[in-house]
Amino acid sequence: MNLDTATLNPSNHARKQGGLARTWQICRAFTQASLLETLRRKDLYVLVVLTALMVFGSYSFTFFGVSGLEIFVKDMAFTAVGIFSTIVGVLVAARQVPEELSRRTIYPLLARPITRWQLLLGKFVAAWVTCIVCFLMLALVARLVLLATGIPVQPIFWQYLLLKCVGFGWLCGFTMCLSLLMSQGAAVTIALLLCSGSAVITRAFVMFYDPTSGINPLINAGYALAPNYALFDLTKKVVYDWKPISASPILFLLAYGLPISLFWLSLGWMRFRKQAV
Amino acid sequence: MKLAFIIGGAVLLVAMGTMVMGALPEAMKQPSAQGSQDVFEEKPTTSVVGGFRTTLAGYLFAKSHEYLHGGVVMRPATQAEIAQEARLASHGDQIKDHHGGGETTGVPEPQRDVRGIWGTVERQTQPFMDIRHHGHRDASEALPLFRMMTWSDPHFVEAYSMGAHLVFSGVKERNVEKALEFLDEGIANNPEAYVLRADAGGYNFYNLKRLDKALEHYRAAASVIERTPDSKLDMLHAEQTWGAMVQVYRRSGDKENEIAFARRGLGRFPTSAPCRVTFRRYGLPLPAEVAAKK
Repeated sequence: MNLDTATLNPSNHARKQGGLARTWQICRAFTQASLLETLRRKDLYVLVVLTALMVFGSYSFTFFGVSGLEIFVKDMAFTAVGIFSTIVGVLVAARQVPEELSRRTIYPLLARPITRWQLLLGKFVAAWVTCIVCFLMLALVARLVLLATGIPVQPIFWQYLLLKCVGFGWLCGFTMCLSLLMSQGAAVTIALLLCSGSAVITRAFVMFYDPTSGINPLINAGYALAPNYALFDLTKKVVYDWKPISASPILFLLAYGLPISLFWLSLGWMRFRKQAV
Repeated sequence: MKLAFIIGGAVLLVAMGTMVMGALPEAMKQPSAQGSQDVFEEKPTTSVVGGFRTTLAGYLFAKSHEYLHGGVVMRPATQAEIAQEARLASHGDQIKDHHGGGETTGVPEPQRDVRGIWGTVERQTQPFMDIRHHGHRDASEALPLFRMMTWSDPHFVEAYSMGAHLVFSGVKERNVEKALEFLDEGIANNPEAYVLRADAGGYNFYNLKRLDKALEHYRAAASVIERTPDSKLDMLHAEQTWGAMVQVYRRSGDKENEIAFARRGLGRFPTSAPCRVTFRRYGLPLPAEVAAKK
């Protein structure tokens, strides 16, 4: 990880170490580095091409005489964007700290006047911003392909973008927490399983829960810790042209998204602060 | 990078599997009355490679359900949910007969949701509706999927039956001729599928009043039913098909055949009301073995 010396070697680090401006500088430096690394790895390009191919592939049925495929093509487009952006998100978040450890670049980082919390927060912001950039690129490609094929998208699309971006905060915080508690491979596997099965898990809970058991208040409190990634996903509403949703659930998810992301990050930090590197 | 190639490879594999399956001789084989699964389960090669086609067709079938309901996901209600008086699917327009017994929404209704605010948010962010007397999106949006399903798996009998039903009962316009055209294609691909013959007979009899065409289809369906053991038949559907055939004979004034088929029908389906009506109508005694079962 190459970070510029001016950012990480301030003249008066004792004064600046805990300051917001200092933390902001650290986050910015990590974010720039993470974005560069993502662009250099080329994963994103392949996924962008795959997304475009999937959308064009589903549209190609029209060349064989099947008309009226708008919903199907839109479904394919946004499903591809959702799956690929989640995969990129998990991979980016899961490699932030373990790769610093395995490459031993964590030593020069911690030798600088950065607290472990600042390091973790910087990595989290870097992963989050990288996820958002990747997601927006994929969504843009899908939108352009839909535009080229003359398939309209309703205004709820903008709410979809907003909530997805908030949801990536949860994804990054949760995955980073897992990557600090277990190996990188295990963290990726579990994060992908929980993200893809998010809706199934919560619905299974509803199916098998006995409402006469009298523990509803506990359930409501504990539900915040469930893998609620699917709550941030308006894909189906976009695909089936639903009207935009009201402001209250959006505000609720905004108010829930950031604290829960920081909660998972804090859980990881509790492990990381005492971890021997 | 590796992962991206794995994903790309998987997509290619599915596409190639579909093409390879088309070239296998088993793909040309006709299924029994039950549909394609009988063919695909015979050989390991077709199970592994050809399974893609039925899987794809099955996926599209599930998707078509979702399309009709604007993305609202449904599932069979559990016994506990039925006991809790969960809302069950019922229809508010002309598109019927596509829900099994007791379906409810995946996202529960507010009265049954213990999650409070979390449930409220989910009902806002995910497609949700009250499924009692629910309406449907225009069926024409789902029709391309049925076209793709039957391309992918020409032995998918249920897709032909359901697709024809949707063409027939489209929310915007009804088109019985198109429905019959689609069914004819299904019958050509699945001559042993009596369900399709019964559907075609039904449209000809009830909607178009073409008794000769209806009889042609019902006779073909009855022939398959007679050759098929009970264990491989949906007995209720088969009984209804037979009963409808007897009714067509009655309507066309062919007393001799009506009685003959009613007698044969009661031998297989002793409770068939249309067959019993024939005997009562002409003052004939019921066959002894049937009368004993009354």
